[in-house]
Amino acid sequence: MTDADLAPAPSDTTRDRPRFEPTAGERKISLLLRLRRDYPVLLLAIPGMLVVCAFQYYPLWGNVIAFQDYQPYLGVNQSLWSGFENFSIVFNGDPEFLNAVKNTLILTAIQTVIVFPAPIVVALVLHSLLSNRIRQIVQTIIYLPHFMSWVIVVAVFQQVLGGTGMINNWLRSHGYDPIHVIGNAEAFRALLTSQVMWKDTGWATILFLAVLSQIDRSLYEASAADGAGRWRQTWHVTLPGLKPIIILLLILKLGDSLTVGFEQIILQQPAVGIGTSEVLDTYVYNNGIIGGDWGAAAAVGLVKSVVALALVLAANKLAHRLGEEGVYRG
Amino acid sequence: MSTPDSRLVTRRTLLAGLGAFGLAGAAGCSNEGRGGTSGADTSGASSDVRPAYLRYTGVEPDLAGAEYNIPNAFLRYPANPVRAVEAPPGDGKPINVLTYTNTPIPPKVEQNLFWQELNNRVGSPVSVSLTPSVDYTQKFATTVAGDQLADIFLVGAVPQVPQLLQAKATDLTPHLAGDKIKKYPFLANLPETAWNACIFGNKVYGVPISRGAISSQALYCRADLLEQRGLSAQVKNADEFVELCKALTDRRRNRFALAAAPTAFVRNMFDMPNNWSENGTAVVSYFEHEAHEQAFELLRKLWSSGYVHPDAFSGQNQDLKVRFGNGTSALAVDTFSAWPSYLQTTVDPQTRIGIIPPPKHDGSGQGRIWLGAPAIGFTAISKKAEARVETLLAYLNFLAAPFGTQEYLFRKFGLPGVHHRVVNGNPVLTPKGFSETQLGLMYQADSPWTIFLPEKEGNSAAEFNAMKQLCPDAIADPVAGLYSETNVRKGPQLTETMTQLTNDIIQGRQPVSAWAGAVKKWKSGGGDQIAEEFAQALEASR
Repeated sequence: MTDADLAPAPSDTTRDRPRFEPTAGERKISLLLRLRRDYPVLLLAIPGMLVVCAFQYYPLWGNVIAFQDYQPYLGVNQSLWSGFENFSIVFNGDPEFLNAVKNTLILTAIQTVIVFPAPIVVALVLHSLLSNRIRQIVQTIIYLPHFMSWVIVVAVFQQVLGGTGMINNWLRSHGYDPIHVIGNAEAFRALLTSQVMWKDTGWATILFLAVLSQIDRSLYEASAADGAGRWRQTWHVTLPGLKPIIILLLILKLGDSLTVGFEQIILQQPAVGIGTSEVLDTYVYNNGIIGGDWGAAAAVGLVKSVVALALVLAANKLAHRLGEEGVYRG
Repeated sequence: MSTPDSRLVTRRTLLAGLGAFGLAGAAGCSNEGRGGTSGADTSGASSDVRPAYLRYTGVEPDLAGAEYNIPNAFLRYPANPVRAVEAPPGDGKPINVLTYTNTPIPPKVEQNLFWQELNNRVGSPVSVSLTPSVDYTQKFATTVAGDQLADIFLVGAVPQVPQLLQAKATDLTPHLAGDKIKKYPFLANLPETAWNACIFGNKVYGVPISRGAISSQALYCRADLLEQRGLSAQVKNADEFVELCKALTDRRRNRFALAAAPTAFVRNMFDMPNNWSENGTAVVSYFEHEAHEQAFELLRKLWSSGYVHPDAFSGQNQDLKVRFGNGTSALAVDTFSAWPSYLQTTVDPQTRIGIIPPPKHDGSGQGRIWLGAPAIGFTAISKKAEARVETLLAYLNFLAAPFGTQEYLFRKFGLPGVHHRVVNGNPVLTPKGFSETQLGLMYQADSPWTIFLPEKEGNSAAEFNAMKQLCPDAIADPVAGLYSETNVRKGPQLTETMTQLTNDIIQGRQPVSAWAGAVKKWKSGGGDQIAEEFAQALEASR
């Protein structure tokens, strides 16, 4: 988006402007006329809307079980209402719940500080490579792990770092002490982080590379003419060019911040115990689907969603304050 | 955990390394997290619905086990097996099954001659959805939540099983109660006690996977490896056991004595009760046994000394067999019913399998193992398949055809020349046979267990004798098959917490002293109530 998009629109040409806010001109057009004008677009939107309703809005109905003493075989209609009883876990601070919150927040912090900037750095390095050939080869290689499922990734790490993995077998057979990584609760967060980075850093560079290629070459030339070196150029041209996408992704990331990799963690939970590995998502799964405490699990899930929504809205507001576009204009 | 007969355990339970709870699970498949109104006790009416027992008398065992309450053993397969099921049970329409497995997943039906022939003999295409047993509870819980249950499903260890069955399973009482079961003679051949697991609220909801003593856990050893090192398979006390583990560990060669933590074996050394014990009119959980701290100290010592395989807590149960088979670990705790699969997965032809009986920890005598439950679980028929219930029961009856029949021979050993060779008149699975026959049939329905180990001369007798030595003294679970509402609702989760703690303590992530606090929490969180309900149920059953 550029500033031109945000400038007050001239009121005469309604047709060419893809604007959402009705202007004085639009208000005069009746609903019927607008329907007649826009119906091909609306028709195109119907399948998408149906999918959104079926898979995004309809399931929201399930949240009612957070307010019930839900019995799966009685169903939502016959289970007894229990008001906010299920939320006592959240508000009274059940130790296991608090532990899950703590672990989630720690992982979120790590992911924001270490995992999030990684693809930006990689993208910058790739972008500065002169040889297209090398760049393409590197890109292809680092994209690959993204397409592996977590089961495979976890298995690969186990084969390499496990108690009888490649490295430890070698160490032992040469008389050294093995290193304890898999199954070591203290190393668990580092392990999770390295897995995420190995799997997804390459893939995440795509967006940044796309934006980098959009930056006007003449800006670099101008700054070079003013005597800026590579660092200065990065600082004053490249990073400002990346800023909108970084902020957009950060806001979206905030919405996901309480979601820190369910599949990856549940696969490795047995090895390290729930002390360090239980996060909100696994808590909901272990207590709800496996433990049968559906109501409380749903309550936790609901609170988690509400917090995530609040975070996104707040971050978006903040972005506006700072003069950025954010995710949307409300 | 870890065993062909490991029942429905979560991955973590498994990893408890034969956590007693897992074991309890075995013993208590009818108990932990399941709860069944025991036919014989709680209500007199149950005996009306309990299916009649009609023993199959087609064959005479070479070694009779009835006297010791263990399975019969056979040294030779009967020369001219009878055809027990005349008409194919199927109706031509697909039969879908959801169950678990403890062996590698078989090739697809297109490349699996055994599967094709099975479909042929059943008269319906059978499609099986298999999940490793350690993950089955999770698979089952999510399948139920998604309302995707197959026509026939093995019931997982989820909370509120009776309510689940009422909502999702066909009531089999009109087809199986009393003498009606005679229509399915091989289901009628299942022992009476096995049915306790599937009778709820005076209705029969399933067909048991009957096991009994064969699903007791014991410590397997690679007798050949022990002999090579001049070690004895008889240990007299805990110290000797530690010494044995030390002697079998060789870090430089990546050899670890124990394939997984020997939790059950160690608890047996301390005479801990099998899940529950009676104390006057009260029922007490083994959690409260005074020897836990000592047992944990021993387990921690084994773990921290590196005698337990380092991946014991982070792998699959099939790994146990691999470690044992390739000699990485010479010791593994598993059920007696695992013997055939250990034999079938050996790498070295010189492999010999033995059992190490648990000593008392202080050397004052013989420890006691925990007796396996009459059934390790049961399969139910989906309500959606109610219209085909007779066909599906006929299919299960077909799968329960006992030892000595053509059906049993085919079910376990496939086709001659393709899946097995005939050696001295006995069928011996070929590698192709082993891979193709793993359709989880023994976890859909099975005949009463028979010890028959044709793969290697002497094994049938060896297993029979080991069981004869250990099982008559084995400790039974006094409340197996009894019902406790609280146990049904909260049992699985409570147990899970204790299993987690067991793992944490063994690996040194929690102090041994954490156990006492957890037991207190377990008691107040529902344990006391479960105990009380079981005590009442036990009282009522007398």
